[in-house]
Amino acid sequence: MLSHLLKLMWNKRRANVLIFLEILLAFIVLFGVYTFTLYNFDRYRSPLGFSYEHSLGVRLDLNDQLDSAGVVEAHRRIREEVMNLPDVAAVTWLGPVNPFGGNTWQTSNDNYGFLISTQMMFADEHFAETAELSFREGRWFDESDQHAKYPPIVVNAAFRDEYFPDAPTLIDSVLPINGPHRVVGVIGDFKYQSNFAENVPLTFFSHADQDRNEQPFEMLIVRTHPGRMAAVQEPLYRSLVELTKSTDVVIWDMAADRIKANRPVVIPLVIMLIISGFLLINIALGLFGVLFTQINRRRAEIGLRKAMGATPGEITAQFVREVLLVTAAGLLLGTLFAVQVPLLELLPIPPKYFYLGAVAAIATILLIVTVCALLPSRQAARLHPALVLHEE
Amino acid sequence: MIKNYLTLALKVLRRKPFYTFISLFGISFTLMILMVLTSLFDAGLGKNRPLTKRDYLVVSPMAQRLLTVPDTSLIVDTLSLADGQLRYDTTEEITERTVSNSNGPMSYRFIMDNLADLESAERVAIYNDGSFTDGFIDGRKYTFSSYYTNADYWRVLDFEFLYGGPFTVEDVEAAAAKVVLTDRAAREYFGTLGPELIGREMELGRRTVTVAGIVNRPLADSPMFAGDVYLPLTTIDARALADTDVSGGFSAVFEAATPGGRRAIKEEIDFISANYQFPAESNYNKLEIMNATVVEGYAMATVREQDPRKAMRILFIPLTALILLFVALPLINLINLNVSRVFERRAEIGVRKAFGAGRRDILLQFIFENLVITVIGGMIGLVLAIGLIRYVNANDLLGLTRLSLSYRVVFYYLLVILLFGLLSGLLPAFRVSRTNVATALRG
Amino acid sequence: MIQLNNISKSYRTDTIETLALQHMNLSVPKGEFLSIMGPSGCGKSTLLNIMGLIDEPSEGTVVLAGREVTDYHGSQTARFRNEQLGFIFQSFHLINDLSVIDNVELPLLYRRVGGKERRELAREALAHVGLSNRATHFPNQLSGGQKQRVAIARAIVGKPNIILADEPTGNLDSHMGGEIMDILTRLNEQLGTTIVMVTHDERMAKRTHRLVRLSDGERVS
Repeated sequence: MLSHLLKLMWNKRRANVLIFLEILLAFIVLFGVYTFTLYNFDRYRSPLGFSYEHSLGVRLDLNDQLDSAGVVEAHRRIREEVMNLPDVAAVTWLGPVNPFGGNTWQTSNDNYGFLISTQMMFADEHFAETAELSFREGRWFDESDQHAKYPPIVVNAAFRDEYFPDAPTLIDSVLPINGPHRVVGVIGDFKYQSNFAENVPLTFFSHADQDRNEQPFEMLIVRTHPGRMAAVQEPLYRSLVELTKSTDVVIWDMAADRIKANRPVVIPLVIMLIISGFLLINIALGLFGVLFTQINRRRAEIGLRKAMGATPGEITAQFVREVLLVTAAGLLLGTLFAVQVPLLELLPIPPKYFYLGAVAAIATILLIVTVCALLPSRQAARLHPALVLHEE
Repeated sequence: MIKNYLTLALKVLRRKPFYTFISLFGISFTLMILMVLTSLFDAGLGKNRPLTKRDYLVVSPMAQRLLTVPDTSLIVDTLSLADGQLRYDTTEEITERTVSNSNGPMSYRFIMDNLADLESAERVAIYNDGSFTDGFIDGRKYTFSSYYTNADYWRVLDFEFLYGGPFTVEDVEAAAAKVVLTDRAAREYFGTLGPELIGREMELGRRTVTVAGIVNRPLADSPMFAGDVYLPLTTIDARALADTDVSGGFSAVFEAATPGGRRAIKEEIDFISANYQFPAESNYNKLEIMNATVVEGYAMATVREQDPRKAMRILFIPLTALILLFVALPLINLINLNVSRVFERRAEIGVRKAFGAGRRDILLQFIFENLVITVIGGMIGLVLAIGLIRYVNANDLLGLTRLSLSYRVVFYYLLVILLFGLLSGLLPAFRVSRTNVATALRG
Repeated sequence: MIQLNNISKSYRTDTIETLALQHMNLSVPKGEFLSIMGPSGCGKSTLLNIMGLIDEPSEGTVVLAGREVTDYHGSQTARFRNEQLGFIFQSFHLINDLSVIDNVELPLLYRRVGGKERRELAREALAHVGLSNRATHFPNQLSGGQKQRVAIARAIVGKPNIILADEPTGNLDSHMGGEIMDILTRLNEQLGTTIVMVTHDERMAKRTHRLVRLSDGERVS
């Protein structure tokens, strides 16, 4: 039976080459779209790990002439004044890296025999309560850590799972990350660039690691009571302008910032999905039309086969199989191309998404082709043999 | 003859509604997407205001400072044992290794001392795009992106002034408290838009400034002109003007006398970079001042790559491949459909040939029929695209960028329609025209 | 009018070569109504196609209107077909997407004739076959006899000197077939059109001036 079909396919190669080409291109498009979508969807599923819904981000300009003590005092006073504003729930100072801000600090070293690579964030003692973090073990750093022998750090779950999956606890371990630091806490999942960021190892450093008069913390996160965010902004602005004696105060809504940070992925993703959705409909309709005419052209053959005793089911199966064979040929070539991408590591995406993407693309195309072949085949298979033979 | 082909084409379309629908669906959707893409690129790269002089400009948004050390590598080529003595040949290679680098916009003094008087440039626009100004009106917050520019900025970039005009060289020299703002900023601050706003005062931070002009907001959000308010650069913080370090907050755009003159500007900038002497106490020993055409600059900003050539490759090669793929699918689909439909009309072609139609007549007829459906699909696509562009722009779905909708875009679009129609009709028509009459008529 | 000199035609498939016509000589004078008969597969249709320049002989020459045909695919031949020849087929071959009058106009499309004049000539031709009232119908709304009359109208609209009819009555009952023969006879007598008709039907053949019988690609009478 298979060789019979192969012979038919070869004899009609001129008609089949276009379908073959169409399947091949459709596969390549779908493969790309599925891989990209699956990869991003998987990343989207991992939680951010902090609250942003009712929070404002603030950037201000401290007087450059302040010395270390002056900065400490300014930080204390500004935070206290902001806390006293109505509807403010929590306030924290932040170093140069802020959630959804678009910048990343990274450090790595292999001083102790294995490579530790981690993203860095800088925050004061109030970050955990302001961002409503959850803890796996330990606690956030507090005032007492500032004068300890080793400066404190807090790491996220990904850090622990990546480098110390078997350790019973990390608390009080001293790790060589930008110099020796003592771990005081391990928080749960935490990533901050956007919902589509990868959940990678991250370490929080405290004031103790920042040269206070060279690069003082100049950002704040202000969490307000639910629904009061808009009302807080103006008094917050006026009080900060007053406190810093400078109008370089910028306040933004972190929830809106999150949407903006997701945009570089969301916009292409939505455009790709819409376009490929329409491409699929287009291909399905076109294929249906082509198969409809091709099968109708073979009415005499159908009549003949039926006269020789083929059942409608057999006729349908034959047509579907013929089309699927061409499809399989297209998919096979497409897959050969597709597996090169993870094999040659052409793109910095884990291989599993490419394989999943290829499988999903194959399944989609097979489904579409089967449906498009089944409908006209079944209609043709119901023809009465005498009728079609008479037409000739 | 044309009229006859046209009526025939329309009749064929009407009598095969299913095929007509499939074809129109594919054509109109594909062409709509192409139009929107064209429009997107025209917004970013077209010669829209204020980039009318696009082909005369060299952008220099930042400079990179590097610390390099010589890196010696010793490679053993051959090893042999002769007379109990080990002998080996080696190659010694000295390359430069970058130890650290830092890049960003330049300081005002650096630009004025090194780049302001290029021989090959007609004039240079200098701007600082780093700051935002928050403010409140009646409890409503606004955030304005503030640009500090020189007077030539307004000559290099020809903004469309709705009312008033730019600040002048004298204004800049006098550090006049004048401001140019976009229509959107004006509407946000004053609640209205009109000539009466010229001369009105507005509070920016703790400053009171007078409105000198109101410009139409550019389509693209290029960092060259993404400001909401534009102030004379002399009104910026005095420290920013006095800073003598290489890095600061300023960027430059050079204007050449001719498009070909851009090369001379780039060479002159490269020469300045290569011969720049860092002060002895500096942490760096090598300078690279970025210089690129507007298109290269666009690619560099889009893919975040600093080498202009590499950026062009990274952006445009995959993009071209993607668009080709995207167009190829509907095209093959359409060809496939046309080829299989042609078979249904073999008898018709046989008859036409029997009654004296030549190959050319048949070829023309089928290409024409295909063009008719493509043009109909194209028109539907045009309407859809205009609707989509309006919708995207009205809701600012792409952030700051808006899509352009100019005659130029529509013109490109019409070319694309014709090309699409010809391509999708050629192969089927060619096959048809070769139909053998005797066999076609036999049934 | 038509002169076939020593015509042979063979069809080549992958393995075998079949001979459809062998050394055929035939001449049809102007104004003659000739019928060709013979069993299935004897080469009648091939002969007609060669006379109509839509098939090319493997050997021999065709002389039409005093001119030897050398190039069977060029635009000159297309022009000649258009101006001198009219075709009628057994299965009508009307274009289903076109109305009756548009079908009839078809041959005029390939010469420089204005739209108004085309309409006029097509109406005239339709009147000639008695179908004036069906001008705006579509082929699938007509009976077999009516379709063939439309096909005749199409064949004569260009006022050709020769009409080639391939079993024009083959798909029709004898009554309708008779009507078609009436029309053809009238054409021949009134306008002096040369007609060559392939047929299976002795009764139809008897109504023509001369009968040529073929068997296995050869003339037997």
